[in-house]
Amino acid sequence: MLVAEAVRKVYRTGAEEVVALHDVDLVVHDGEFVSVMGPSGSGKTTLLNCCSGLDDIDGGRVLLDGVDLHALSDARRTANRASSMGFVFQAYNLIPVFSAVENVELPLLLAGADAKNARRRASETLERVGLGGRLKHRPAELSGGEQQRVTVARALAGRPRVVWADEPTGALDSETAEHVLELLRELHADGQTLIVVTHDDGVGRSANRMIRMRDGRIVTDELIAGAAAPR
Amino acid sequence: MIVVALVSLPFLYVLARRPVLRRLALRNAVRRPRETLLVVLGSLLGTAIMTGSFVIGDTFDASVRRGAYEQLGPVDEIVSANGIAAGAPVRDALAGFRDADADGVLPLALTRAAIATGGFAAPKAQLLETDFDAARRFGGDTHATGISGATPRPGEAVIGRDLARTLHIGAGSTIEAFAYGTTVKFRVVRVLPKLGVAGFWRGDETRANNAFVAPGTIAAMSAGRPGAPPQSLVLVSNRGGVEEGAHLTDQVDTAVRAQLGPGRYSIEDVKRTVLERADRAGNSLARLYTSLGTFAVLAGILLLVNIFFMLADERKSELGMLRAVGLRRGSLVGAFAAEGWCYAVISAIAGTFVGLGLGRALMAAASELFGSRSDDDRLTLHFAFKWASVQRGMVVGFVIAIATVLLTSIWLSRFNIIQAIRDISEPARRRPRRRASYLGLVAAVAGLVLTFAGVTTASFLALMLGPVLVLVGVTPTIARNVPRPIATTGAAIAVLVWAVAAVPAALALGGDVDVLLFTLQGLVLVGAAVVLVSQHQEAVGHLIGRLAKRSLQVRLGLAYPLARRFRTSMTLGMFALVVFILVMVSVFASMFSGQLGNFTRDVSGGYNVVLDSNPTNPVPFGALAREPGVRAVAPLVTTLIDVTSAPGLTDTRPWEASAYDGRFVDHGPPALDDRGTAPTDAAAYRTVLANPDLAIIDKFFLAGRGGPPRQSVDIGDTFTVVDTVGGTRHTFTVAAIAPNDFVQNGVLLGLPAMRALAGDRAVPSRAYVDVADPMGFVDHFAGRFLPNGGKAETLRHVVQVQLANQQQFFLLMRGYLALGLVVGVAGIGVIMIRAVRERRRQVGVLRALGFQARAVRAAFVIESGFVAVEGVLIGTALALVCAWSITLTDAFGSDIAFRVPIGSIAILVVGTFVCALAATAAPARSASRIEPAVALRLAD
Repeated sequence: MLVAEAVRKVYRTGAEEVVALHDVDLVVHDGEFVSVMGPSGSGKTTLLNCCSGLDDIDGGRVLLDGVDLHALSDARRTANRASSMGFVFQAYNLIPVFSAVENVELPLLLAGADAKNARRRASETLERVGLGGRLKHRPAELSGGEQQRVTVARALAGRPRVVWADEPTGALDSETAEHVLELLRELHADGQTLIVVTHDDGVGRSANRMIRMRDGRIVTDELIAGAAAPR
Repeated sequence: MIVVALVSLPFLYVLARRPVLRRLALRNAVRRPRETLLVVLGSLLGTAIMTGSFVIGDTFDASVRRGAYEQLGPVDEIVSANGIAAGAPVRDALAGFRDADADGVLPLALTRAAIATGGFAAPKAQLLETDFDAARRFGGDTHATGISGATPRPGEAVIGRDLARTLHIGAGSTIEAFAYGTTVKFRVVRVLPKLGVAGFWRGDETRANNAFVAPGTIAAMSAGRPGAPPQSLVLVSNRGGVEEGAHLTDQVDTAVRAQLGPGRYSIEDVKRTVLERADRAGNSLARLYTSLGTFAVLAGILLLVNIFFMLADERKSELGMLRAVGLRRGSLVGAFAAEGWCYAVISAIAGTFVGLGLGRALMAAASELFGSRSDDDRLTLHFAFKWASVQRGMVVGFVIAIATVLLTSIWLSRFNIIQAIRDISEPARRRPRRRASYLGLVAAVAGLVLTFAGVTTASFLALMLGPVLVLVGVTPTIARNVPRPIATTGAAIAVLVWAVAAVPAALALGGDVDVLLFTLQGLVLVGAAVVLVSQHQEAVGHLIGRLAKRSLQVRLGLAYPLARRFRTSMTLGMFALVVFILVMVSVFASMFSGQLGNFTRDVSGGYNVVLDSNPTNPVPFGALAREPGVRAVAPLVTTLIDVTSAPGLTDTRPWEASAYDGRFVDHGPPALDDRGTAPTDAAAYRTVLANPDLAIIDKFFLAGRGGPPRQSVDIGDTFTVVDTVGGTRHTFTVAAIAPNDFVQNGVLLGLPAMRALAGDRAVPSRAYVDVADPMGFVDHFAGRFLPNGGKAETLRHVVQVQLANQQQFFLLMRGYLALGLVVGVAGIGVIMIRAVRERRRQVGVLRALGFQARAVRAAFVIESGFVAVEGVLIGTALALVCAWSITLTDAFGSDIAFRVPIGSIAILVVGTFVCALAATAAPARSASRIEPAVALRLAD
């Protein structure tokens, strides 16, 4: 379970301070598929960064299975990310000099898996996202949709507790975006906890819970009718 | 400067008349000031190294040229006659000499002497007689003569500054002069500066231990006594200043000969000779330093290309957009090149100043090194530079930078617009284009022509480049039919093999061995090796990955250099070039220093001591030979000659000549490198002794400074010499060649030949001695034979001193070449700084995925370490192979044995590696501090 309590984030540019998150509280249960929506500058990505431990916070705390992420040292927090979290970014952010399978096995190796197992699991995960035939291709040799699927595979390969996705379909055409979305739904169906930041209403409504943000605050937090309930 | 202006015209046009391109160029140039500074630093190295090399040449030129002021002043020609009596008619004939191109003559008598006082002695000194009033008027410039006061009276001496310093005396002191078996005391009345007539010195030495004495003193000392007779001279001054007068030498020489008619006299064009020597020394040093500096310049060029590629990569999307909205490819080149022009101009100016500073620092170090020598012929270095050299350095550096920038810009402009906009790498072509194949074939044909020219003219340049061009030229055609890696690998290996084999091949064909040869060989070798290694980087990386047990840091550290082969090969080339030349120089330094035993054996023959004495008062060799412990004494006559003609000689060159008799051969003469048709070395010496038309030269005969011996005179060749005092001319045929001339005997003749040449001046004053206790003999010799100007040294010490001087030169050279290492190390720092910026987002992702900060740091350090180690290994291996192949030839003498200076190389390799890691430390640390959220946010 992920619990964010009164999380506050302030960006400072010179003398100016911009409060990006105003004491945000959030609880995400295991197996939930949460979409975070809101206009640009509302604090969606900042919420993702702070709750995943990618960024420091200026107040409050974030607990993942009872562990206060921001009380950990950088090294421990990094190790925690490696073992418990997966990330999907809008710009794919694959390592261009690694092949698809090498990109996917990266978090496994970081989590301490042996090379053989890591490669096997990475290959299986890529097959699961439909890229079994593109294992040795480098990102530059893949289409945008394929790259995003590699990113999803990378996020899943380590079987993390939580997968964070920041605008996972933002750079894709509608058809490819639908494929990726379908993939996310399948993951959720398998019990994967997903937190997706998006401003795409379609993506947002695929989740079973939708949070809307404005000016660094959660303004609505609602369950979506018809969506699968968390396990 | 006209070149700079002309080259700049197109760029100035772009900046002045194309506002969009100007905005692009200038705004990009100032967009990131720190990175602009890095680009400027990368570009200025070429200018700095070129300017530094030219300044070194200028300094040596000026330092040798200074001798013209200090030891000649107004003296342009010297008319000499052997002995006081023989000099009288010459003096009388020139007493009323008038010529439009000459502004005066000055009679002067001179003899060699040993001078001593208290506990100090000058074994090699001169007694001179001249009229001081006439001397002051001589040449029309009183200050240039250095002469002041009245002519010394009997019992008085006016001494030069050098003698005063050698003896630690001043006016009022008493000195003793030893010559012709007599001793005369003089009271010093004045000390003259080392300038013009006062500093006048007959010989190669830079120290002028002069004592002017009253007219008639020398005649009285020498009358009826044995020893080389005094010299009667008439000094001639040409119209114009110290240097300008030398232009009139031919006219004045002709006029003097016409005035004197036939007779036993010699005319030496001393001023011109000194100035030509200065030019030769300066040009030779400048050439040596620019040739070897080429490696550092090329390293700088590779750095510049790398930085430009990184800049282009970073701006890929915006460049693609510019092309998409209608900017032509030519305009894009214009914008990029105009930006580069700004860097090139700034770097050329800055590089000029850095080059001046570099030259100054190097010459200061050289002064320190050479200042430790106490020889009479030590060259005092005076830092100097010509504006023409500074301008030349600036122009060369500017043109190199602008050409690099322009070619890189043209190359970078050839991208696919969509792929650039989407920031997608262009896939590598599987087969070369047909056009590349045709161009390659044209190059191959040119290579064939060049090869043919190289074989027929024995030109090393053509012989090295011809086959290389052929191999490189046919590669694209081959690569269209066989897999590209196979074609490239084959071509690279073939080029490597040829580059090693070319030196022996060129030598076998009789080609000239030159520093340029080794420069070219090094460049070709490094180029081919880098191509070969780059082609197989994956295999290297795989192997290292396995050895590192697939460590994630190692994999990530290797992933970028392996994936970006072009950039990696540029960095590799940068390191390999500078390490190659440094190791090469270290190996040669080690090979020479390790030859003390061999060289000593060569120069010694059956002797262990060489002694010198004053020819006007020589050591009594007969008595010496009878002393206990002395096993053999072989006297030699030594004198100075002018070589007026020889193969490859375009001017008159002063050179030493020594003559021996049967005793020299009987006890075992020094070794020969080539004894012609003689069955043994001794037989060759005997043949020369018996035939007054034969001579023995050494491999360095008529050679200039720096690099291997350029032997253009060979067995069977003839050369003509003139006795510098009596004017006797003789032509000799080379019968044998000695490997070196550490003792500075110069041309070796039989005694009869020397007597025919020098007449009664052929007095033995040098001797090779074989003694039971050489050290004890040497220690007591100078004290025992002080009046004879006696000085003895073990032959081992003679060799040792010269090898030590050589080592100092190598040390200086390595210091200079280490600049290239600075380029390499700074370069890798620059590249890593840019790499961190470029991969900011990727580092952010890695950190987000759980990559620890220290692992990020380690990956960057591994990356730079990998490239540095590869570059260092390539450079070291090639230098060793290259040096080994050269020792298979006898380019530097057959005695030189291949030797690996493990200690120096280890220091170099480890030092380079550590410096490269140190240069990466800061960028690696900053990479590890990248906040994942910030990196991802900024990037997205």
